[in-house]
Amino acid sequence: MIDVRDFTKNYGTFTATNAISFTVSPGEVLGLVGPNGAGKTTTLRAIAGIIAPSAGSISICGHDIQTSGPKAKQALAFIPDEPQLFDYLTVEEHLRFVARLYNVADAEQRLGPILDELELTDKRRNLPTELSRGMKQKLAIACGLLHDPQALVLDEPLTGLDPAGMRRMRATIAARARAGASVILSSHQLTLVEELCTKLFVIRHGRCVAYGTLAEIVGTHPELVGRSLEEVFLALTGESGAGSGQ
Amino acid sequence: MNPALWYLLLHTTRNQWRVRIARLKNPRYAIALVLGVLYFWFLYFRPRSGASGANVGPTVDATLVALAPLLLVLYAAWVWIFGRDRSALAFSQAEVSMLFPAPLTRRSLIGFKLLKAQVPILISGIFWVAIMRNGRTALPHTLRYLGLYVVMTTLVLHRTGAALVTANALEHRARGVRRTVVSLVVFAAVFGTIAWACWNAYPAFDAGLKEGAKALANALQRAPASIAMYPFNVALALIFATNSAEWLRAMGPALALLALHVWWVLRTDSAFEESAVAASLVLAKRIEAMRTRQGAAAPISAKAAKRSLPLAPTGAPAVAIVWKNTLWLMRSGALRGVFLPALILLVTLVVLRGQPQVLAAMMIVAGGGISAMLVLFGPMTLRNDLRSDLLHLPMLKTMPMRGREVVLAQVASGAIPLAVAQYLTMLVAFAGAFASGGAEIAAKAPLDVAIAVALGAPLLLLGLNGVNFVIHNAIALLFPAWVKLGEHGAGGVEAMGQMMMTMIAVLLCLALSLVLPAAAGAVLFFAFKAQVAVATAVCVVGAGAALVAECYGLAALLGGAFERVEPSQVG
Repeated sequence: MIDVRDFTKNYGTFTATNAISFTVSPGEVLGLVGPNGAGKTTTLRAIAGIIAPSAGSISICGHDIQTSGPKAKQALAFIPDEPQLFDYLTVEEHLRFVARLYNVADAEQRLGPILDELELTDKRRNLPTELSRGMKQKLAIACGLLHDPQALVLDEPLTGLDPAGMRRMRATIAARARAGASVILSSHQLTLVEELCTKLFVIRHGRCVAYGTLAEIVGTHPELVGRSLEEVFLALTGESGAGSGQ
Repeated sequence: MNPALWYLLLHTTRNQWRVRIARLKNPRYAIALVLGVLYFWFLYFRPRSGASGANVGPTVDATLVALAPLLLVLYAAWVWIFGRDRSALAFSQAEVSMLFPAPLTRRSLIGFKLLKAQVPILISGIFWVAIMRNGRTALPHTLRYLGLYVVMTTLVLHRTGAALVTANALEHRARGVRRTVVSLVVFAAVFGTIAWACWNAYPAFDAGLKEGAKALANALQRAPASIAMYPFNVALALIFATNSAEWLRAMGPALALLALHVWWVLRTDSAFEESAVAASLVLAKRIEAMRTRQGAAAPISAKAAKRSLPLAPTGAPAVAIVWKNTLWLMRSGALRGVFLPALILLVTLVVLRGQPQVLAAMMIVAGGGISAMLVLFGPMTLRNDLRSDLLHLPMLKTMPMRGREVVLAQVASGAIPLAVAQYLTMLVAFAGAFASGGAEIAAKAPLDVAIAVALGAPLLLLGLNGVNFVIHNAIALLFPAWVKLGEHGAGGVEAMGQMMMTMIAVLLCLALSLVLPAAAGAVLFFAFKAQVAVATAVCVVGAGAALVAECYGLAALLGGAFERVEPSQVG
């Protein structure tokens, strides 16, 4: 479970997020959506323990990310939009490195299948500089999934993937959720969000604009009944989509 | 050359300087520039007594002058044998995208590339003139500068030509070799002849270093070696000219050599585009890596990528960081740099085994000196810690570890290999000194005291390097704006100033951190002074333990800072 309570993050006088709260239970996929600069990445980075909240708390599987960082992070995987890889480790070595970080005792048995699943088997001895953008993204995903995390935080996970990779990634996220993982998915691809997410958290200017299932959100905004997710999103965030004529 | 290329060159250079000057509004760069300028002035330009041109006379040994061109030979051989140095051909990605499809001849592109290399040559020429001004010659500085310019331009052309020839031969195999057969034959003949002369002179070194050097100088002055050495002698004659007449005599052949190189490079352009594009891709990857904050990591070869170490999947997670950083050292070649002194000492030990007196003194001085130098400069070579990994801060922060564990692992990654390198250097040096110095050395340093030092030294070196690396990491973590993060340091005068500031801060902190361990060591020594060997062992181990404790305490404190730091503060 991922529990975010009154999370606020200030950068000097600028408030990136303002007292936002939500919970992602096991098996749920929360779609974190909002326009550019709304505070999505700040929220995801705080959940991953990369930045500290100015106020509020965040816990992963019952462990506070600030006070029990290692335990919370042991249960978590964060897959950023830009793959963060080490130039001097090969594909396979990245996985061995992650296995040791998270004490994956059966790493040897998991390596083959995960490399196969992400079509990296042929590239296992390659360095990141020899990989395409999509392959790097696949490696970052493989590193995130290797220790079978109970909480999964994904920031634009389909960036750089080919159509087959995208399909596989969608299936992987759904499978992880079915297996009991709590998943947060941030993406501008609203079709992906609509397909996978069981709940939505719409954020704008660092504040919660809407939170709940799509039906619940539409229920509180009768004017949005029958509209597509894209139209709902644009209406909630006050954005006017190109070509909408508004 | 095409006017558009001239325009590009002039405006690029002007804008680069404009950016550099604008950067000086930032106090960090301004202070760094002042320090850098002071450093260069102190080192090269400050007035020195007795450096007047009136004091003319032969100050350099004739044998040394005869052997100096060998340095150029070594440089040229390096360029040819390890001639995959594509940086000589590299264009920026923008240049590849815009110039290669443009209606420009290959020769104009090569000309553009060579002209671009003139800016650094013109600047470095000033420094070389400053370095050489103490040669006590009557040659005016302007003539010296012109001479250096001609020689350095020839060297750049030689490097470019060698890169083109080797790229051609490697990429097109038999066809490429056929295309460049003349160049390859000339290279083989010149270097083969010089190598043969050196080989024949080698036995003379058995009679001593001086005799060997003389024999080598004589061998190089006899045909056919003298013919092979001619181009190298021509280049150096210009640099070693002591008056205007000598300079004028040397200038003619040097200009002819330069012209020959221009002709050769412009003729060897058949594989240019492919080689240049490949080289540019490597350059682009480096630049992209820097821009995306992945560090300015040099691309590593497939051979280097095969160097690996096993890692068990379970156990302390911090070991994974040490493992990762050790692979970095093995693959980047940084490890070679710190273990090389021990190897050189070992080779010296073998070569000079017939001269025990020279050897004993040399071993002690070199062993102690190199180990001390490694304390100071080792951490600048082994940057496999937070100074590299802060570029991956978001990733580090998601790792399931406490901040102090991350910091300790990072510190250990550099401190342990450096301590091992220093220990090996000292062992080789002192073993060599004892083996060759015999009774004289034993009288000054009894064997039991030496053994006591040897037993305690590992802990002492580990603690000393640990504290040293903690300081370097602390500066990177607490003042990231003052440190160049990544594998390599920056270039330029400001970078030199920045490095000096870091160095001063490190030395001050290191001196402070040594106070308590030194006091502890001294107290222990006096407590056991009745038995010198025991007192020495206890002193070294006690000081080492204090340093290790200090290192742990500082790393724990730094761990707290690591947990608080955020990517926006580092970026």
